[in-house]
Amino acid sequence: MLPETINEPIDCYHCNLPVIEAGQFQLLVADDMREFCCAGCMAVSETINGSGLSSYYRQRERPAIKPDDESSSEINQFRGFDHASVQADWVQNLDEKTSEAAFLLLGINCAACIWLIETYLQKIEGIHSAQINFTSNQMKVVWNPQLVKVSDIMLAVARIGYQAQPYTREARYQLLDAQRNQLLKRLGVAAALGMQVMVLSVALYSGDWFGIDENIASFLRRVSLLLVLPILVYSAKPFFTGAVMSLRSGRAGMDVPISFGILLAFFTSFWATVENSGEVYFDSIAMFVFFILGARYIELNTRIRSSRAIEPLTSALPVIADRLVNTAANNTQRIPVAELQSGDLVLVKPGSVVPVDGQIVEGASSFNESLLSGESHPLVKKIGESVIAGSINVEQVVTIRVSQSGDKTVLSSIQRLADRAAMEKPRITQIAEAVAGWFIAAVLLIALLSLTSGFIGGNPDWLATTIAILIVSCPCALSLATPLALSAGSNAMIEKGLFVARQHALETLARVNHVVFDKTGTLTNGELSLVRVRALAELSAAQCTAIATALESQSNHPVAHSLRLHTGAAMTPAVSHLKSFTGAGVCARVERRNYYLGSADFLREQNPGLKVDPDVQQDWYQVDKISILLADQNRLLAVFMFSDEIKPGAMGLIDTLRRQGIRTTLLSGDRHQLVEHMAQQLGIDSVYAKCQPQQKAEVLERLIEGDDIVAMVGDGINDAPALSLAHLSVAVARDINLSSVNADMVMINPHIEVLSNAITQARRTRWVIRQNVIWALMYNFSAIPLAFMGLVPPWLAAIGMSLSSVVVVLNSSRLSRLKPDPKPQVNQGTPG
Amino acid sequence: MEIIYLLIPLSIILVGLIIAGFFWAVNSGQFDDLEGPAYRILQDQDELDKRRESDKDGSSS
Repeated sequence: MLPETINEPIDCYHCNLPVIEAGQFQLLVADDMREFCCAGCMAVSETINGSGLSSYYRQRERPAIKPDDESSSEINQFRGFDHASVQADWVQNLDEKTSEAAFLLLGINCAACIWLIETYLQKIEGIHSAQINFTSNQMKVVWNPQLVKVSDIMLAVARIGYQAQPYTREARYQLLDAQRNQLLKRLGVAAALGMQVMVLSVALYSGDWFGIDENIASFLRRVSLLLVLPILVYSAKPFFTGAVMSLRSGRAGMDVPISFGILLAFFTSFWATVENSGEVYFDSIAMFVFFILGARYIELNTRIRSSRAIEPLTSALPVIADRLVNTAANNTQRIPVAELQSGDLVLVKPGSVVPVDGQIVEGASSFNESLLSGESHPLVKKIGESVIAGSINVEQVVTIRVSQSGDKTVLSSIQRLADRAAMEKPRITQIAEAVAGWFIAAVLLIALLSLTSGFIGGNPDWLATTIAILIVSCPCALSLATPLALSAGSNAMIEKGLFVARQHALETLARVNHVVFDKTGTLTNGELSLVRVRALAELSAAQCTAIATALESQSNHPVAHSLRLHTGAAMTPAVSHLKSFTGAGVCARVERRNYYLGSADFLREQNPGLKVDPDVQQDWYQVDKISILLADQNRLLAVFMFSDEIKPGAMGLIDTLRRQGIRTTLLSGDRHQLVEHMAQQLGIDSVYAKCQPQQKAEVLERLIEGDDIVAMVGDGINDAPALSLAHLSVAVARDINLSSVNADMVMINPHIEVLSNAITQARRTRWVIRQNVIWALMYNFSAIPLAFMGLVPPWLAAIGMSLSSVVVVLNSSRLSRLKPDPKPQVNQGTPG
Repeated sequence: MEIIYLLIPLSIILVGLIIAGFFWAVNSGQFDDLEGPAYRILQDQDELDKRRESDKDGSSS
């Protein structure tokens, strides 16, 4: 079986490019000897054929893209993707035997490509599934990392002539940008030519009214036809490809009736133009295409904006940091941030961005974290406090000890959560799409009915009626209603520092009627602070505090930490003969006198003759505080009271929640007295004290068994099991590593009261979605009968359809514009 | 009215030029960022000017 005669030009069987020298690359494919233009094409075809997938060549609509010849040398390049450090960003290891990652596919141009890649990959042992999304060019692969490596997957894709790249944010942005520019061009063509068509049809309409020379009318129609052609071929192309795609996969997509409407209108008008009789609908076509493209452009822009909502953060991060080489001489060395190790000291100048997560070891300054948390007021931070990458140092030079850098910072974790959320399709959108699918099927049926009944019944307007039905019923509004409102809603939340990590979170948050709080770190600051100093002798409170700080200067206890925040290192007197009794207290010499600091029991033990005022004694046993006493050899000098302060906004939050009709529960591992006292103070409905993580989970289990929709707010560390049980989990994350947190929402804003705003926002989002859906259904259900009765001309149908979409778009954009909450009271949290 | 046989083709050519110009603008990135430039005009230059001024002050005094 020889190839065709040598004289005739032969096209490569794989890529359809001309074969320069016949007979050089030949291969037996499906019992025929085929010619190839190069070794690359032949190798690809061999792979496809060898895996029994040669039906690809019968099904494809377009020739394949010529593979790169260097594909063999790319193997080494792919191997680089096997490094754990490269994979950290985009490969998720679900368990030992399952990994999941998304790839960006290049080179796919028709449905057959998808079939080919999916089938080919799934034949490889160790790959559980490969799913490709045609519109986003995204491939999701689940595989067993023990059998298959990432490079194997990429190589396999390359072997059949495509390219798989990591689906990173950068890659997606580029793709989205390209999509948007393409759409913009199509929109521009439709707009420019549509206007011309409109001008001509005004002439034609007034000609119908006042009379027009038949030659001129015929000329105008022909020109209109000419102008509409590019709109049809270029601007409306995505509708046709979309319609073909959805018909092939057996679904009734929105593009199907749109394409039918456009084609029907065009061929009727075409016929009328040729025959010089009957109506032309060129203006309706132009308007229809322009408006639908416009709606899609707005939708795409919303999508781009939400996927970029936090992008300014990474671009704000510096690439160069000043590492402190010699602490004494303040010698710094400029090195790339990527080379910083944890434990390194970094100098951050005022006005610059903090490059890493870390603790302040020298200096104090205020930091603007607005990029990250939405909190516009700079926060004052001192030695020992944590700063996060991405915040801006406002006042002073500080030295920071690096704790996390690169992709382990809070910032990167948030971005990963965002990426994951962007890939999920919320249930509510899926429902809307399914409804729209059925709706379209019904519309097509109605249109068919109108077509046949009009044809048989001899209605002169049967074509116009059918076109009007197809155009007016476009469920654009219906399918835009939910996604637009959802993304506008979650964008508004991100601005407030509440991050939606799971797409269902907004829906669930709107229905929540019971909020469970973890105590420490959620409703309280999570650290002890000195709230009161009571001086009992002639020494002033400040002097006593300075002495106490000196005594605790070597300690790591929270009390010591809090004291140090209160008295700077310069003010602390020198200390000697320091003796520490673990869990009880310390004694030491300061300025040639012995001092004791500790609990009452410890002081009595050290100095049995100590006299204590009963009034003072009462202070020691306040339920919500911890008291520490300072004494010298013969008398009591001062009482220090520490407490884990309730966050300033907590009271307001619980109050607002109650007014929103939401019940509250407090969970804590602390002792009953303390927890109950706090619940009483805040007005929390029910209390569970002395709960270990496991018991917290049990409480949650009981709660979700009832009818309540339970949201759990916690720090995500010791209440992780409970968080995972709740209908909605909100992690209050500040200085911890978020990658360990698996919550539906993450609260980055330090002000806990944003939670009630978020609930309001979620409820409003749900309300807007309902409005949108009701409006869209109402519009469609009233417009279709009218169109069926022939009361709606095609041009009016086009206006009606686009107006209904515009209403939905504008209604949804209200969500991102409304900012109902007054700025929360800023409390710097300085004790004293 | 015969003039429209000339004017309409002319207008079509004009539309063609407009579209060509629009395509050029899109391809050269004119539409990539529709919000940023509006703010940019307010930001950088002022800061730079101020810094330059303060530098000048510093050197003269």
